[in-house]
Amino acid sequence: MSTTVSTRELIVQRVLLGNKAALFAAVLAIAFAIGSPYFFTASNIGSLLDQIVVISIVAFGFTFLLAAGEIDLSITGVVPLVGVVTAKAMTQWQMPPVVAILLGLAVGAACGFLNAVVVNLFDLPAFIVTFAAGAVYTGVTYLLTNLVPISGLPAEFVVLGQGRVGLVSIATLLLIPLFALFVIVARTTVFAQHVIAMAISPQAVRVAGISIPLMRIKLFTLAGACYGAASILLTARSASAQISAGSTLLLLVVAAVVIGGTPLLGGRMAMVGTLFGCLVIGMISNGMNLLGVNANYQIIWQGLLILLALFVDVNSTKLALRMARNRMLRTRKET
Amino acid sequence: MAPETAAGPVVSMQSIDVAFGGVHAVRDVSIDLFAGEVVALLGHNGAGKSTLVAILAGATRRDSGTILIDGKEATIDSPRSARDAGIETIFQNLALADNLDAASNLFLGRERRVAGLFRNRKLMKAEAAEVLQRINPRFKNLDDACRNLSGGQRQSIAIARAVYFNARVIIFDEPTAALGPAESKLFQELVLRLKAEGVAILIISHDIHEVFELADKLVVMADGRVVGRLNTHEATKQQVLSMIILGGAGDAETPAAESLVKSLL
Repeated sequence: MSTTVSTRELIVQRVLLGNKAALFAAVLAIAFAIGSPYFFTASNIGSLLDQIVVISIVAFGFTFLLAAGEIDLSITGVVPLVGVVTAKAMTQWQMPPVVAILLGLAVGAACGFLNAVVVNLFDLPAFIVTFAAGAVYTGVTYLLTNLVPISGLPAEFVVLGQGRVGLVSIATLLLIPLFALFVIVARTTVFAQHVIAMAISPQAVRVAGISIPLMRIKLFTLAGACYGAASILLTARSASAQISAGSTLLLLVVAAVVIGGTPLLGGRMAMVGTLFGCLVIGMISNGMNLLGVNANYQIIWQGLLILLALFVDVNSTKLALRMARNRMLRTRKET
Repeated sequence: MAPETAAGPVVSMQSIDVAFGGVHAVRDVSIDLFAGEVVALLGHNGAGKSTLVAILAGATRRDSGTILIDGKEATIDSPRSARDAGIETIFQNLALADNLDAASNLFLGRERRVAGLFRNRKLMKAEAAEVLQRINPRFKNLDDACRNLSGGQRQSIAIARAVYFNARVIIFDEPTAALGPAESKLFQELVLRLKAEGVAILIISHDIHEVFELADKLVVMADGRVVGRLNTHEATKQQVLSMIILGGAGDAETPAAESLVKSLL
């Protein structure tokens, strides 16, 4: 059978469609390197990696959600809430940083858990539920803070976001094992297999005895814990808990995950692609900063880039399906 | 398979009743399935066949009635409990995850694992290849996603799933509706083989000719009730068709009904 796959098809499918984000990242890197001599310096690469840590951690959890055909719009509410709770725990409730961090993670996970419970209980689309839940979490954040950011965080907490070992930030060093863990889970576990199956054929999953509501609870809780971890690093980076923290995250994360090759409607999970997607997103603002592009234009560019990514996603999926069908028709003729 | 069960029915559905809202979909239906026997369930659309089968598959809850497995009352309230009781269903749409390959579908929900969490990919692929080879010797596309396979190949995967997990009862819902002639023939041979191995088989079908070739017993449903039970070798197609059309009123003798039935055959 394998003889019927032509080399051209292999190149298109494996390299171009399978690793769109890596290709995209390479093209951008070359463009920015030509535009600015500072782009490929060690210190800029170090800070580029540091800049993508927060978005990457959120994106890892989001990849699972999207691969399952689910969506979570509550990120914008969860991220500031976790930051505020973590900061308050240290500054007002006298908790040691470690305990405050665990509390923050638990709050993030609890938000995700709650989202899934509501979706399951009322049989509503996650799109609506998480949109509303995000508003609720934002409201809680406002109540907790009276709209005043919380600063004065202990130094041993702030070092998590600002500390460096040579040119590499501590946050980047934390990202590496986390990424490895997510890649392993995505590629080898039974759980990940059920995730991509439920997006495409909920019926097959149900009759296989797998509980979709339970899957949803696991997925949203995992994603919530990721938002929590990202928020904690974000809070440490800025040495304060901001009530508008992560307000642009949702858009950027969806873009990064989809550019990475996980389809908007799920059924496939590209965890390595997600990291490259985050790199693309990070490079756009990093590169434009180096080129001196006005920050306001950067938002417009990001929006346009997302449209482009979605366009490429839809069309490359069509192309992949067409190639697979042609190959199938050919093999049928041969047998 | 197990000769000692040959005496009584493997599965006995007794006085099954289901209503959806105001619609009484299945009323007081009892059906026995014996090892090595093929029963065909016939009837119009909306006669209650699919609902009855969904109950046995654990996909729909019954309002009342009991299901006995080997004479003992069994709780069948989920797809998993049905499978655990040895009942496998080949749904009309086959219930496959189209983005996964044959082995992943075969083992979906019952994966072979390493350390409890990880897929034992090699083992599952090897075992899937082995069982698929037995079912459909021409099946070779083990690495392709199911969406790229033909109807017959897809059905092979669903049947392989039942065979691999040692189903004692296999339910086929409209098995040949989407198959070409060659694939239908392969399916019929397969059913006879499963029967010879002692599997109890329940087939829902619209194809009366196929049913007469395959089934030992015929059960006709209309309006949620069983309106006729026949041994295939004693029945005529005419008789069965008139039962389906007239709901068992038994008035096949009226000239209009008779000519209608004849025209359909």
